[in-house]
Amino acid sequence: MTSTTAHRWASLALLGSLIALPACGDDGSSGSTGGDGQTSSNAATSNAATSNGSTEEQVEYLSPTDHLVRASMALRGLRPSVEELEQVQADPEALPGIVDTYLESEEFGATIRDMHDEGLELRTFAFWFPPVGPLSDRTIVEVNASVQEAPLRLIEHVVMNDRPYSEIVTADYTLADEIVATVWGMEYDGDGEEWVETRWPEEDRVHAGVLTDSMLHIRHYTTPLNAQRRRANMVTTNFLCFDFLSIDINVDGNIDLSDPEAVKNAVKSPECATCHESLDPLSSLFWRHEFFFAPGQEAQDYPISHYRPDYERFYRPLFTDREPGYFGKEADDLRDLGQRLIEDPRFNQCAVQKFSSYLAQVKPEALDRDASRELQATFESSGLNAKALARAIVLSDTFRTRQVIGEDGDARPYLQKVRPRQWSRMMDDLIGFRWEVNLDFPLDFIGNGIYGNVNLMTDSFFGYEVLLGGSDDYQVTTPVHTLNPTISLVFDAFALEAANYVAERDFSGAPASDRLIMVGADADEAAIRAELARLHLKLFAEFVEPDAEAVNMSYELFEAAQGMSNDPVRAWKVVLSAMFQDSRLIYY
Amino acid sequence: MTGINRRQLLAGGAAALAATALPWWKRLALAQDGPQQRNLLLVFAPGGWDVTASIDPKPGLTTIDSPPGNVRLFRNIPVLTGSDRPAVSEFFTDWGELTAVVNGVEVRSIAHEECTKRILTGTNNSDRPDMGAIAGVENGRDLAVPYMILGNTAFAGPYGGYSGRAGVVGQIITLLDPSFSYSVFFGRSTRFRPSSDEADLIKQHVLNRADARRASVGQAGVNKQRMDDFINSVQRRDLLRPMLGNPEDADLAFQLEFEPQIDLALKLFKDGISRSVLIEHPGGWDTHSQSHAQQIPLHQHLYTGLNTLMQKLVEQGLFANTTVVVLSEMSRTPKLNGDNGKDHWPVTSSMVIGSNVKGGQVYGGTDDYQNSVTTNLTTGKPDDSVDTTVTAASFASGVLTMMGVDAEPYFPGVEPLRGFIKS
Repeated sequence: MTSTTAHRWASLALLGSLIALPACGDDGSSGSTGGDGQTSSNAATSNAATSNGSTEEQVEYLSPTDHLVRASMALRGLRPSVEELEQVQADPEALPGIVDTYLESEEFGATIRDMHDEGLELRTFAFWFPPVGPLSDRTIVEVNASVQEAPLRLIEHVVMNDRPYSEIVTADYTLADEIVATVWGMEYDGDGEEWVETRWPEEDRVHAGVLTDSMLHIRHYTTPLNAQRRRANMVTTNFLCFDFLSIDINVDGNIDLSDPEAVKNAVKSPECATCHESLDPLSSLFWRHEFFFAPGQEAQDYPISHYRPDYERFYRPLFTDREPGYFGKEADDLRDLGQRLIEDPRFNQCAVQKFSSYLAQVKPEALDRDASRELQATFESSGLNAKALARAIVLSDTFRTRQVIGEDGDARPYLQKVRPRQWSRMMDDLIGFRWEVNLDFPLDFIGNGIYGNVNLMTDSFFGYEVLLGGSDDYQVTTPVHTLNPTISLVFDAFALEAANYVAERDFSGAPASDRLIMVGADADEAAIRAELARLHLKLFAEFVEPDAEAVNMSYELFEAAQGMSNDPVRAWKVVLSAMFQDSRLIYY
Repeated sequence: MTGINRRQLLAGGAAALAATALPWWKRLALAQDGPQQRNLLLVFAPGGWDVTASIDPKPGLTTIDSPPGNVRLFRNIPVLTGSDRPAVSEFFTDWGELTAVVNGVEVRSIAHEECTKRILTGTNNSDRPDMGAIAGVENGRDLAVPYMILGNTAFAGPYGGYSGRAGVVGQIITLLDPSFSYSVFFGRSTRFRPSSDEADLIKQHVLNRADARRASVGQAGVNKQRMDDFINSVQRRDLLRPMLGNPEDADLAFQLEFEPQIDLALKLFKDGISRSVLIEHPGGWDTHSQSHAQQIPLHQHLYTGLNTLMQKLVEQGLFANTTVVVLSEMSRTPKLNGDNGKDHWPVTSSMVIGSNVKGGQVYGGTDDYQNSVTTNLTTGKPDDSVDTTVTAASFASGVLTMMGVDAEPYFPGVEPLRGFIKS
């Protein structure tokens, strides 16, 4: 490391205080291309009247292969394989069957985790769990990722095993890998990496899916005077799509905040009671968990516990006199909360809204109500099978809409921007490149232990996740679903890194199974054109012949680059640098 | 204190200007030729400041537990000051004439995330653009990144394509200069470095392909916006190169320090990269315990930075066309809690600073219980005869109006707070 580098990394010590805180192209024009270079659109169209019937809008649908791309990306964060594309190109009726295989893939499980993290906001850069004691051979990244991921793994487990989605808040078990089991002292009979069903170790502790997961409580910490309201609102926001904070409040300035009794009485005033009569009984269900719990650098050993059953008896009466309850119904503990949630009609509605909004990258308020009702019916008739819900969403006409001509700029989006985690999975799958750095040294300001391996596209602290429009689940929580210059810079840098890696690998004797480029450095024009056509299919789902216009453009790029350097490998790097930041990979 | 301040300006370098009868700030503004479009610098103090510790002083009341200090009048701005926070007095001595204090801004929530959204956007909708995004786009949509976010929380809404981020540990540096990429840092020098001609080829190819795609898939609605954003972003990203400055001087952690953020913000203005910038004070303003003991040094640190900011604006010739808005998402409760802390309070204050501000005045106000008082939004003065108060919406709308933006489309039916706008 140079002195400059050392200086830069030394300056990171300033971060300490932060850490301590709590078939064809989707455009018909370049679509199915014949040998003469002419194009013909596969996209279907239909006309639809606007709500007042005065102006007609022209709805254009994706071609079946582009529909497959969108479904594959939304469900898995992967592009379809060439074989799948060819299958749908030959027989569009094959698409639903392929979607069914996607729903069984581990990448769909990863999407389920990503989707729920968008609301639960667990993947923060707050590294509360140091690698100490029995975990001292692990890295900071490994330990914290496992603990943060546990509630999401439980949700994935429910969905992938075709259990009713409601089980995410009622499950009489929890999920752990070896790290999580070690941190909390759970029994574990998996192989280390494997996530298996287990139970919280405390005998009197109830289980209610993610509602009783310590990490959820730790992330959504509270204070004594907040009296667990933050956690209660997190639950209603995520599982009922109702956010108490969206309501305006006025507070009486004459409250003696040093007197808990005065605070307790304040929330009974007419202007406060509207919310607090609902919120506070819900909050009273959470008192068996520590207010704020961050082992941090003080932790020396595992297991540890965040469960505080005595708080209910000692602290709850001090800070609230609301008995536990659920919107006027009886509820005594978090297990009851789970039951009441799934009996609440808003639970299923909210699930449909979350899935629809995430998979189509549409804000909830822009969702079509009639379509949502139909999806809810499908969801409920399937026994709350989340795969059935996801399937119905991606096979819907709305989802396969390419664009609506005549629509104004405030309409819903159809073109989706790849999310950071999707990008990482997709490029790893397509080209075998993951942009990682291994910070295999301790960073004092973060705490004990080696920091660990960082995936730069999905890490929000050292990496580029936030710059890419993603979230850090803490301070930046509103994703950006379009491009701006700094996002574009990240894609450009990724493309340059990946192009170098791929070309160096592929032209230095790597086995064919590991390669993206299958021709040699001495390939002639015909071979290069054929290879480019193959890449257009693999990367962009474009069925193009070697003499199609799209290939002409790519070949001209290759030729021009080779003319500059007289180096075919370098020319391939230029071509790949352009291909790896193509709008077809970034928008699907 | 380094650089020049107002007094030094009047006594020294700007002495020639003093020959006129114009007020000093106006002479300065006239002397500093700059683009007509105004820059907006948002200085955000996240966590919730205790405004009774400075710009909304409430000493001697039984209803409010005021931090220690003495009230001094700077022009017509009463400020709680103390020897333990001299930067506050220095700031108002030097810049009070150009500063409008807005008290009694209602955010109507007591949760950080919600209040942040409300004070920045003037709404309770996270899909709406904040003041920085609107002013940046309306006044500089042709710039490389009209709205640069150097802090954390910001809301670009539909203007996501016009905004940009630098990264919590200055990741932008690793993108702008390959020699500072992570791969080089950690011994894997793998990034392809195209020559400038090769880079042009790559860029043009990407643009040609995107252009063709836009012609078909991006003809209407949000699709069109997204394809436009893609193309604009590729075209503009190289304009960010000057942002790097001298890589040897670059600091990976710049975002979490105040002064480096100030320096970068001013560089973005000076280089014509951005029209709006949001910077974040790296304090710990959320003082639920020992509030007075924490708020006072935080004020000292913030105002030290503000003094530096103002001096640098002058030194770099940016003063005349830059407006600074200092804000925090909430304030602290009037009374101390059992830990001598103060909790969240839904009425806050802001400061608006610049040569286009009717400064030296307080607008809006709070009563003895720290509640907002009714205010005539045209004059900005408390007025019992009206039923309006200063809300996050009227404040944001007022700032935008001051920035020359037609705020009505963004805040339909909202009356802007106009009192602090110099006609």
